[in-house]
Amino acid sequence: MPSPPLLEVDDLQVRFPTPAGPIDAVSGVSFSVSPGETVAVVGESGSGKSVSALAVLGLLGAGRVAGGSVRFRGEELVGAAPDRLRRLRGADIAMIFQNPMSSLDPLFTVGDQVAEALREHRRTPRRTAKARAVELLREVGLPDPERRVRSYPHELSGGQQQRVMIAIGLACEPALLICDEPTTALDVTVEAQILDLLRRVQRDHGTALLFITHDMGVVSELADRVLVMYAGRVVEHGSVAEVLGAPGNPYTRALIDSIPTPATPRDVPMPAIAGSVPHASDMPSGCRFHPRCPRVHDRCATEPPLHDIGPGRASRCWLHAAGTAGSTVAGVRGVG
Amino acid sequence: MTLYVLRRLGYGAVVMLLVTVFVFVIMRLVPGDAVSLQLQDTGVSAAEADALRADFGLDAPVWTQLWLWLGDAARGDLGTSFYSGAPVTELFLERVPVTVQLGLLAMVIGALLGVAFGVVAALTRGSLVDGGVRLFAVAFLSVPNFVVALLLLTGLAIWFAWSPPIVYTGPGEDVTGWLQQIAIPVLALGTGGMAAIARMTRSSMLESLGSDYIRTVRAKGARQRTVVLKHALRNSTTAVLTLLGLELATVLGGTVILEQMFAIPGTGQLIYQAVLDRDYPVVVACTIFYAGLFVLTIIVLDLLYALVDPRIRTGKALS
Amino acid sequence: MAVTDPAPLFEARDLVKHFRSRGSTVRAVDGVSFTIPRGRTVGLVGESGSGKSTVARLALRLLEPTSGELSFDGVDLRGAGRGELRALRRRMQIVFQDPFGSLNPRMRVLDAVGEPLSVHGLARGRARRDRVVELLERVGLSAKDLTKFAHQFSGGQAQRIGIARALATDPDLIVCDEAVSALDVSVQAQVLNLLKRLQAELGLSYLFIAHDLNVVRYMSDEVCVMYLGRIVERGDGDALFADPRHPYSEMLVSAVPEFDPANTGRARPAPRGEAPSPSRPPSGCRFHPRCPRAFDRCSTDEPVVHPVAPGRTAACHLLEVDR
Repeated sequence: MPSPPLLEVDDLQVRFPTPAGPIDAVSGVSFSVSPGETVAVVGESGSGKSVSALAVLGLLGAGRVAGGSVRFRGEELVGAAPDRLRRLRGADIAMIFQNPMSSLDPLFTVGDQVAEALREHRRTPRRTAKARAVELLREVGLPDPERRVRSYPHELSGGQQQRVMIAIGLACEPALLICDEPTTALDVTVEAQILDLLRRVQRDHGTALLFITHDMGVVSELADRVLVMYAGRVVEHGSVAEVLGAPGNPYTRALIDSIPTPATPRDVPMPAIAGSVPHASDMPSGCRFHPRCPRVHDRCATEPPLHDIGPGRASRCWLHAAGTAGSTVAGVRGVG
Repeated sequence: MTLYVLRRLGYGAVVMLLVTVFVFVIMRLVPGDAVSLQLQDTGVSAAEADALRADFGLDAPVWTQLWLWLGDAARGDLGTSFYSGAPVTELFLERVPVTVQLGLLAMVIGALLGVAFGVVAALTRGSLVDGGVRLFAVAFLSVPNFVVALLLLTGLAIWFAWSPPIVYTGPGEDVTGWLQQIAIPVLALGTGGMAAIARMTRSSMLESLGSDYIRTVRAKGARQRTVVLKHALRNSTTAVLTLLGLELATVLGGTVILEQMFAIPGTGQLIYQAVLDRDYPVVVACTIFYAGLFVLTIIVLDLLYALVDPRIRTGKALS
Repeated sequence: MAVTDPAPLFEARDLVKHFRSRGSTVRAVDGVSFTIPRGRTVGLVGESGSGKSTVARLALRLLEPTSGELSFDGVDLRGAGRGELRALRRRMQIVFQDPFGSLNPRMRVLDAVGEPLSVHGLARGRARRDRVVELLERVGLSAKDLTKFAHQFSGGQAQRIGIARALATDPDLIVCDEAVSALDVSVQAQVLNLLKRLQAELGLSYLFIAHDLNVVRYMSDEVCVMYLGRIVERGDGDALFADPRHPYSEMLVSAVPEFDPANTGRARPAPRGEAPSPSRPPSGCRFHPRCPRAFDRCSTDEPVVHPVAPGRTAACHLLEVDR
């Protein structure tokens, strides 16, 4: 790691109350984001990827951080005063979300919602804030920003709404932008435009991105490093080229294999992972992937730790403990 | 927009016409008429009574009466009272301000307190305060307003030995006297609406506070005041506006009984007496007034919706 | 099409559906033709507003087309009488995107899957139960799931129930409208495999609609690319995605984030513009405002369909110039 990390998450545990008792949506999650880099968190539903991101900003709603630490520029955020967190949100760490339509307040103009980010943090005069909002909307590629600044969210397309969300995020020039599946709800051509915009923002402002997604293609195109999450745990992390090119963990391998690509042969079944993602209230004992793992063996009854399997790379699997050199797993052909 | 208002006013006129016809016909179907009630036990002969009926125009068939009345009404003449002989318009204009003051105060107080209680309950969800607000809201919703008035009246009399003045004085002459006079009816009329509005505000505030856009506002680092008062509350107003329309109906209905109970000379009292007396012109005029007030309020509320919510402004509702 | 199936199972010709709302007309589907041969899969891809889901509803006569012809197994669907249509409906089923939304939460699996059997009077009591068990086993569930409710299943399992339900009446055609789009990738692969296996076992035909190009390519024998209510290009999926001939197909294919561990980071330029509303389609070629290769004719003349290779067609003026 060349520079000291901007964000360090260590052994994070997030708990949600349910009628049947508390459940841990995330446990033992650690990662860091350095200035200007893009870290992707990839996983299926229930993996805890979004919860981890919301925990950073203290936006968990009913949930709470039950353990671990979140440090931003060395400052501990877990247990920090609410007002301190508020001052960081939007100003130093901003966040954009999956569904831009529902994420914008329908009753206010987009200009007002962009300007609000400035006014809440810097007491910018109304007129200056409005002028800056136009500039920001132009920067994120909203056509005709002088006019659009007075539009309401419902008058914009999904792609334009997401551009507005990005403008809100950029308003105070944050050092870190958390993106929670920002393109999942968008059409593929619009997705490409938004990803392009985020890349440009990063290049021009040196913003670090923490990018939550379920799409390996997006990870491959955008990120420097990747964390793979499964059932509330980090199962593997490392550089994108290494993790995607030679997955260390059987889950990562199986997940990659089950994605249809232009090269997937049509006349044979897709390699699929048997069973389904476990629910947080009903976690398997031992390795959380073991009931679905093609390489399960007796040691999997105990949960494996994250094993270092290379510089800046680790995988949570007992297969590495055997001392298998360069232990990456070969492709597993599953049956449907 | 103008077109929309005009169209709504047109609909309103049709509604009022239908109400008029309905009341006009129903009143004449009710047994007994103004003449027989007035001449009861006076020993006046049937022939004289018939002459009086002819005088009032009550001898013609109902539809002819209706037609004549509509013709007069179109010229601004709502007829004269069968009893006092005074023009209905005059009788009526005297009393309208009293009822409007009463109803407006009840609605404003109900709405303000309802919204305030609703917001507090939503922000303290699950706490004792929230529980208290919900309990009282259900209680007030299930008790009719005249019962609330009676309870207030007896309670204040027993514990504070205070009761409102018996003779009505307008706010122009004696403000304190007026306030004392109308305090209980206003509270009684307002509580039902207050309870309904508190419940609605609470639930739509909770929905709004849990929404994606509020999460965005929080992620911006907005202050709690901005989150609650600017975004969450404003998004809850449409639901509350809907209730205000319904509350108006309750309040107007309530004035009939409460004005009677507290000897307040408003239109409620007027219509009550007029119905008993079969004073047709007064009944019809009052009914038109109530219907018109209701129609106008609904239009105003629709316009307020559009003011609050830009989606309605540009959307289907106003095309 | 080089070879025309002598008697395709399903045929749509010049299908048009316009929705009128407040003075404007939404041209959701505007002249779409395709045929589905027996035992084959035709895929529809396109972005939101392309009209692909409307086509699905028109095909099943859940919506009344504004104009155009539909035939199923040689029977004209538009001219069919009520009784005839009812009999045909049994042979055409649909699987929706949200498996939980399309299953009644208060119904047990036995009744959810068995409902079509009762509705069409195909089986009752013991026979119905046996048939439901058979269907469940076919989709990878079992008799012990009979008494469960939808919410007791994962998304993938619930979609299997949806498929079992669609299979109940022994259909010939199943329309899959984004049937795997809401599922996690690991589960999506299972359901795709299941659909393929069922096709092989039962000789089913599919109209397979999805926005994920790779999923459609994997499933389909023929792929139709839709844009603003029209099919702009069609043909074998492998060939179409490897060498798209219509500029829109090209844009769509290049926009898909590429999963390539050997070559991370993206060098290709992002597509420009966004699809306009189908209530105001552009003049001439509907794609011209976004097309990187548009020229003057494109804004005035509507392009006709050109054959570009055996079994492949595209509607673009450039193809005419090329020849």
